[in-house]
Amino acid sequence: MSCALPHERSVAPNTIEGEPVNAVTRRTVLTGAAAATAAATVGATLDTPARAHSVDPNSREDMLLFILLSSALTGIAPSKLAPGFALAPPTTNPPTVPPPPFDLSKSVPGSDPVNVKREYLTLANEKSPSALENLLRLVKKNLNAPNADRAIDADKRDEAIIKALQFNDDDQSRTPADVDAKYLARSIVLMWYLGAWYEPAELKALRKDPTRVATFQIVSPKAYTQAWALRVAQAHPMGFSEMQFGYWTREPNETSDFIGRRVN
Amino acid sequence: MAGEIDKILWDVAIIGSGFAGALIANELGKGRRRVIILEAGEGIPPNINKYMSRFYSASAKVPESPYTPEIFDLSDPKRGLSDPNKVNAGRPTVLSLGPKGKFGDWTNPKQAYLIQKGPRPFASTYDRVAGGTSHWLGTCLRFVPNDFKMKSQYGQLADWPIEYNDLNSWYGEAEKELGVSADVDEQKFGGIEFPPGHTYPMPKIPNSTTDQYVNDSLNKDPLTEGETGFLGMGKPVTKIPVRGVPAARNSEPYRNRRACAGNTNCIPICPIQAKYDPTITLNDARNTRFVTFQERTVAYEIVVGTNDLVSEINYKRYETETGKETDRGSIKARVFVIAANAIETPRLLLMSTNGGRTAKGVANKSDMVGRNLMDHPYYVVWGMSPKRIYPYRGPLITSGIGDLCDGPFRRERAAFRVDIGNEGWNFVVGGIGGDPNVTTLDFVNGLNKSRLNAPLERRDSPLGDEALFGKQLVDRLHEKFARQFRCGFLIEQTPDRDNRVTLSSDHKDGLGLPRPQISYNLSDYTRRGFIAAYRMKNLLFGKMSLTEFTEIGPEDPTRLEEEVDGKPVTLNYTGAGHIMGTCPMGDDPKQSVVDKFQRSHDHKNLYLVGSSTFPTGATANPTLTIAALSLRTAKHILDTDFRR
Repeated sequence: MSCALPHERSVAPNTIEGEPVNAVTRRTVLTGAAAATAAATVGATLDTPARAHSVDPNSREDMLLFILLSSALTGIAPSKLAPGFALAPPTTNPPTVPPPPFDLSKSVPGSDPVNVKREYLTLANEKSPSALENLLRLVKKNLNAPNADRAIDADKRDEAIIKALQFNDDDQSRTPADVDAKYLARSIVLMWYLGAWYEPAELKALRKDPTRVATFQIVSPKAYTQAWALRVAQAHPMGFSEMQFGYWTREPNETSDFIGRRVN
Repeated sequence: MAGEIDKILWDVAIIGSGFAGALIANELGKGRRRVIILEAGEGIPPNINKYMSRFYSASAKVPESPYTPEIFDLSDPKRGLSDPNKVNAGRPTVLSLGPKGKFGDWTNPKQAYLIQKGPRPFASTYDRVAGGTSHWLGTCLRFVPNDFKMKSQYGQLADWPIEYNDLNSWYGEAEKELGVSADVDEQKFGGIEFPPGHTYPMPKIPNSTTDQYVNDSLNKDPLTEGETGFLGMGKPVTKIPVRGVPAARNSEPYRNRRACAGNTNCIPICPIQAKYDPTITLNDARNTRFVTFQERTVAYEIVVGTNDLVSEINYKRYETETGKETDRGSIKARVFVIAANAIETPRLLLMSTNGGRTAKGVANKSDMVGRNLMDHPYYVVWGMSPKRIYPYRGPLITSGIGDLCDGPFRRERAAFRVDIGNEGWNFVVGGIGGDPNVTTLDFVNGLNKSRLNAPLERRDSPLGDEALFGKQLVDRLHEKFARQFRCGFLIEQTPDRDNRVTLSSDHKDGLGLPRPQISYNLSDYTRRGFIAAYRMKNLLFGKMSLTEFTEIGPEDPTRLEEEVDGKPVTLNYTGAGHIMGTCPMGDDPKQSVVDKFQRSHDHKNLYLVGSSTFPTGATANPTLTIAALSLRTAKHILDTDFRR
C-alpha cells in the first residue's frame, strides 16, 4: 500500500516570481497536474493489474519507485537524487540471509527542500502516464532482486531495469509499449542530467533522422540548477556553483562526493 | 516625464550607460556636475533575479539570453527570432549569424537587426540593458606600448595620438574602479611597465587545471627554432609563458561584492556579481545625487547650432519593447557625450542631418564616421585531451598567451593573443544548448552530434554507437567531459575604410529609425594573422597531444579558405564582442573624428567615447582601455570651462 505524505499534498507546485513568458506553459502544466492529483484516488497501488494512468506524484510509494528508477537509469545514487532517501528496513552488516524485503510504506522518498524529484515525476506522469506506470512496475518487480548470495542487491536491481530497456526499436520480441517505456526512460535521464524535457517522441524521431535539430524545454529555473551532467564531470551546472573561490586550481574531489559513487 | 528633464539645462548629457557612459557620469557626479543619462534599453533592476531566471530558463544560453529585448518572438508558435522591424531598441544576437536560407540567416533583415551587406558577416553582438556590458567576460588587459604606434614602429595600420605612458596612470585608476585581480610582475610583458610601487587592487585569480596542462605541455622542454620560427618574433622563442589574465573579478571581497565562486558563467551573467559590470558604477553615480538616469529613451538627432556647438539632443521614448512610441523630447546641456557603442554611436551621428546642414552627419566633416569598423575576429579551435583536465570549473577564462602579441612580424601579418577556455566545448559543439546538452543527448539516445560517440575513423557517422543508461553512462560522460579543451585566437584587425557602418535606407526599427547597415571584410594582413594562429594551434595541439575536433560547417558564413604550406585549410572566425573603430581619434581633423581627449574636431562641446574612438584594435580586450580613456575624458570635461 502506498500512502500520500500529508504535507506534500498541500504543497503548491513550485513557481518562480517573474518567470519569463516561455515558462508559463510549464507552470500551466504543473497547475493542471496538481488539480488532477487532488482529484485522484488516494492509495493507488502498482501491484494490482494494470490500470491506466494510475501513477500518483503524491504517493510515497510511487515516489520511492521513481527515485529507484531514476537512480538505475542515471547511475547516480538515490541519496544524491533525493537527499534523505532511505529504504526500510536498512541493510544490516553482516546482512541477514535471506534479508527481509523492503517495506515501501516505511521507506522515506527524501526530505530535501529543493524537491526537484516531485517536479520531474509530475511532468513525466503528465506527459507519458502509461509508459511511466510500466516503468514503475518494472522497478517494483525487481525491488528485492537478490544476488548470488541471496542478499538484496541494488546493482542487480539496476541491471534488471536497464536490461529491460536496452533493445533495438525493430526488435520483434518487443511491444510498442516497451518502446514507449524505453524512450520515456531516456527522457527521464535527460531531465535529471540537463533539467530539460526532451519529448520521448522527439527522441524516437531523432534516432530515425539524426539530422533533425533536437528541441527541448528547460523544465524550470530550479531544474536547471539541479542538473547532473556537469556534476558527473566533477563540476557544476554553468551559473550555479556551490563551491568556493579557487577550487578550480586543484583537481576536483572524488566523484563519490558529487554523485555518490566512484567513476571508472 | 519628458517635460521634467527637458526643462533643465544640464551640465552634461550622456547617451548610453555602458562602461564609458557610466564611468564618466560617476566622475562628473562626484565633481558636482548635473548629469542626465539617456539609455535606449531597460533600466537597472534592483537585483539580478529576473536576469537569472531568464538565463536558467533559456534553451539557448547565448550571451544575450538573460537580457531584454526578447530574442524569440513569443507570439509566434514556431518561436522564430523576433522581427527587428518591430523592436524599439533592437540588438544583434549570435543566433542571427546563421547560413543563408537557414534559421537565423545573417543576411535576412527579418531575423538579423544589423543589415549585413558582407561580403563577410560582422560577427560581434551587443546588448542594451545598462549599456549591455553586463555580459562581458571581465578581462582587463592593458594594451602593450607598440599597440599605440603601429605605423611608426612597423609601417602598418595607424598610430594613436597618445602613447602608452599617457594612459599608464589612467589604466591604474581604471583598475581600481573596476576592481582588477592580477599580479604586477606577471603582467610585465610586451613592454608593459607600471609606475613604481604599483599594485593591482586584488591578488591574481588562480589558474585552472586546464591552464596548468597547457603550460606544462607547451614548456616541458625548451622550444626550438624549428617549432617557433614561424612566429617572427625577431629572437629565439624557447618558452611561451601561459600567464594569468587580469580580470575585473573579485579574488577577495571588494567594494561590498563577494569573491568569485567559479560559476563558469561570466558570459552571459555572473550570478553573484563577483565580476564588475557598469551597473555598479551607475549606482554609485546616482548616489552622488547629481546624476539622473532615464531608461527606454532613444536619442535620434544631435542638434547643432549655427555656432557649431551642439545645443540639444532629440529623443523618443517607449514603454514596452515592441509597443508604440509614447513620448518625444529634447535634452539641453552644455556638454554632450555619446557613449553608445561603435555601431550605435556612428548610427546616431549619421542620423543627425539637421535638416541638411550636417547632411553627412554630425562630427563628420572628415567623412570618417562609421568607417574602420573593427573586431578581434576570433579563431576558435577545440579538441580532446589525452588526460582529464577538468573543464567547466572556474571563471570562463583564467589564463592566456599574450607574449606573442608584439614583434617584428607585425610588419607582415596581424598579431594574435591566445585565450584558454575553462568551459570545455560548451559553446563550440554543434546543436542547441551546446554542451553539456549535445554530448549527453548523444550518449543517452545513441546520436553523434558531438562526434564523440563513435571511433575516430567513423566520427562523422550521424548515429552514435552507444545508447547508455546507469553507471556506463556516468563513466562515459565523465571521461568525455573531463577531457574537453577549447582555445581561441584574438586577431588584430586592420582599420579599413570600407569596413563600415552606414544607415539602411530600407529597414527601420520599431521607432521608425533606420537600422545600422554593415559592410565588413578581412584584409590580407589580417588573414595572414589567421594563418600564424593556425600554425600556433598546430604547435599547441601537438605539444598537448590533443585530438582536434574543430568543425566548420560547409555553409558557415564565417568560414575562411586559406592555403598553408601549399595545402588548402579551412579556418573560421566568431565575433569577440569587441566592436571598435568608426569614430577614430587622431590629431588631423581631416583623417579622424575626435582628438586625443575624444572630443569632436567639429563640435567643441561634443565627446564621442568608448572603443569607437580606437584608431587600431591591438589584441587585448578593449574594456580597460575604454575605461582608462573615459576617466581621462571625464577629467578633461571637468577641467574645461564650457559656460561661455
